[in-house]
Amino acid sequence: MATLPAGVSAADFNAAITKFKAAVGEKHVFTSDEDVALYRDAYSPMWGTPQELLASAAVAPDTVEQVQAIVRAANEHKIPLYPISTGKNVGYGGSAPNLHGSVVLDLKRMNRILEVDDRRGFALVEPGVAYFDLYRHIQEKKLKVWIDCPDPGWGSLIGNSLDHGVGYTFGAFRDHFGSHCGMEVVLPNGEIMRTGMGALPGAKSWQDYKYGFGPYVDGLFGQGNFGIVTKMGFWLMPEPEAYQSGYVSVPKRHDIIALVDHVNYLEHIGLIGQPNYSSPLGRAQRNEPDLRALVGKAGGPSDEELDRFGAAKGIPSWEVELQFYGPAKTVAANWEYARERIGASIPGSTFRDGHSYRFPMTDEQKAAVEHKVAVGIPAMSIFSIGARSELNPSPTDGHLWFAPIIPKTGEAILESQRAFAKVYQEFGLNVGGIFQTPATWIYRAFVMIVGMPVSRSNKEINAKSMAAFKRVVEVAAEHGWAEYRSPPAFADLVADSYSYNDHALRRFNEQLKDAVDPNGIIAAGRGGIWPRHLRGGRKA
Amino acid sequence: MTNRREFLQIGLAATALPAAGGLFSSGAEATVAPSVPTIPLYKVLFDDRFAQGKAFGDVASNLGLACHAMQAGDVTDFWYHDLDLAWRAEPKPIAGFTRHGPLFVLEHFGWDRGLRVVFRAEHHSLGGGVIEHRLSGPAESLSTAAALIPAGNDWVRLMAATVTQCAAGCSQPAERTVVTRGAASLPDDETFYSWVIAPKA
Ligand SMILES: Cc1cc2nc3c(=O)[nH]c(=O)nc-3n(C[C@H](O)[C@H](O)[C@H](O)COP(=O)(O)OP(=O)(O)OC[C@H]3O[C@@H](n4cnc5c(N)ncnc54)[C@H](O)[C@@H]3O)c2cc1C
Repeated sequence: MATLPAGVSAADFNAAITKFKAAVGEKHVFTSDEDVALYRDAYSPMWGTPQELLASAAVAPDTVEQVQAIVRAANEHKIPLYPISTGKNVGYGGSAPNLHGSVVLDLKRMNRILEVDDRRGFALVEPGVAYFDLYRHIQEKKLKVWIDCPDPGWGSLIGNSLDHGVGYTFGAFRDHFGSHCGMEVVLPNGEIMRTGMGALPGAKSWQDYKYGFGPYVDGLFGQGNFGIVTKMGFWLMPEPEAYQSGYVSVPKRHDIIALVDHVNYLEHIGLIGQPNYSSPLGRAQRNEPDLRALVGKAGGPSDEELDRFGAAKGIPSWEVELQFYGPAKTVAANWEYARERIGASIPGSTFRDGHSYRFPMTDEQKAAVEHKVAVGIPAMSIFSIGARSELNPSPTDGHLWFAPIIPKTGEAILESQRAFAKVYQEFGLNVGGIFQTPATWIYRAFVMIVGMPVSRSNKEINAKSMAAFKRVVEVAAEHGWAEYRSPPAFADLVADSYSYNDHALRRFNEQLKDAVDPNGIIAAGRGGIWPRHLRGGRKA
Repeated sequence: MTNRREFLQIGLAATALPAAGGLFSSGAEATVAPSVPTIPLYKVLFDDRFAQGKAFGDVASNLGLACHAMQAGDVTDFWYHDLDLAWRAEPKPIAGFTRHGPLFVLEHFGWDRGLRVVFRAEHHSLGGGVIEHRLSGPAESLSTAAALIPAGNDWVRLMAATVTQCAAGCSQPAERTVVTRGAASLPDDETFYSWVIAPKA
């Protein structure tokens, strides 16, 4: 028998399951242990323990009307639902719910591509449309637009964006929630709502203008639990003529400050796509025992010591890959401009050309591209590079992404490296450190992401990662930083850190929750927002 | 360490093994076909960066099966240009010898199309040429393989023969663990998987 949701009687659960079957057909309601197990979080740090968050059943509708029927039945019997699109949110919870015993509402079968317009540059899709699907559609129809996708191409535009997921091309497109335009939502009472211009019957610009008229409510459905999104529009980037990348290296640790300022300028003025920072000096540790000794000394090395080491060996402190997209002529000119600008300002900076592509590409040319997502090609290669290492002892068991947002400055990088490194060291985790560079998917902020190891066979590793996660969330908050996204196991912890004015934001969200979803049937706990009966007496 | 890519990448260099000719000269291609009907495979996937992967692919192609060597251990090309299209028409069984990543990805893709891993062998190197093989799958296929592997046979070829002739229609998988020493070793602390993914019984 399935794990029942807390407070739900077997009679109510069974009655709801019968109604779900009537709505979608018997074969699309899953209650056997074997089928329900497919919704476990493959990377759960609580795998196989009583704390693991498990679904009780799953139901897979094919139409919006079926979603409505499920929501109405769930309301009647007070069954918690947990909607997923393609359910590939590994590292942030997979398909598993925040509330143990929820019924997963699996929207994979709703996988229609409703419209792609390469003149106005948008797509309108259902939740089950994966990046691979939209890419194939665009290729087959020879449309002149690109998708922007996360590293794994198997996720969905809707699921990824609703978790504020990110990609790899131009800033405006990398923010997948930010680049959406218009939603259709089944509300907790079973009603259908369209947002933005979609609220206008017969609207001609649902995917062109986001705001419509009045308050912009779309934000409530990203990392929220106010409804089930059944359609969503996304802006697509026009296929450029050319791509060129170039690498800039700067010698000293503090050069990162000026470097980031220049790169921000290039990015914010629209000359480059995603910049990729790294540390050649950090990489050199593998072959330089003296450097390892310096880094490992009590109290850590000073910036001056590191600069001296780098200067003696000719190893730069930092490097950034700049990626230019556009007409071949302007791409070349922009790279030249970047070299002149940075070269004139940072002594000792050096430059080298990277990759150069012209579009459209042949299949052979595409196959040869190393980081395919940077040119809008979905891939799964990220899952082929996981290897056992000291850093990641059980790569097959996954990891927890700790993804704190810091300001987009060199000063913030240097400060956060040291602040986080202290915690990781304290817990004996070999992640982060003084050479860590930020992930740059988010257009206007940096993410100092690390993957904390998870193991199914060694529970101590999980305990250590979970304790470190908790501590590092606190340390981040002390510095004014916080996570942009979190596995369900840490959603409350992260939400707790957004506590300004006695948790005014959470109190507001929960007031809305009580009004919109009084039975608390949609994704209880997501975003740290709980229905009244599950708040455990807490006011905020 | 910095980003996701670097986090995952570190360590790969240390474990990559050049393809070594002649490693598999034992000719241990014992026929392990069960007496029951076997699963008809659409394709066999292998990682040809490793000598073990190549040997596996050899056995499969000698058995007349269509094979696909992954590019740099990545399933993307196989998925996008082949399997996704094939499975849209009809979910068909596949088998392979890969590291964990490709199996993880294909298993999940399979779940979405009504397929399951029906045979899985985890080959984990404990160092010093000792390999632990944890097998799970149809009892008949398992017992033949488990009996033959420790008898000094070339386990890679045996596994290839086993998964390419895996018993069909198994609803309750059995489990066995066997240990080999010396023959066809893996890099220390490295794990490979032989597997079959087939439509749910
Ligand atoms: C190695 C690795 C690399 C990764 N790289 C990236 C990356 O580059 N960028 C990135 O963003 N992520 C990345 N991820 C995280 C994750 O895998 C992706 O974000 C993935 O796209 C999310 O899965 P999905 O698209 O299937 O969304 P889902 O799992 O379907 O959805 C995510 C969540 O959104 C909510 N939701 C989904 N659909 C609906 C709906 N219709 N209505 C209401 N709520 C809904 C649910 O709470 C759900 O749990 C990575 C993970 C790993 C392990």
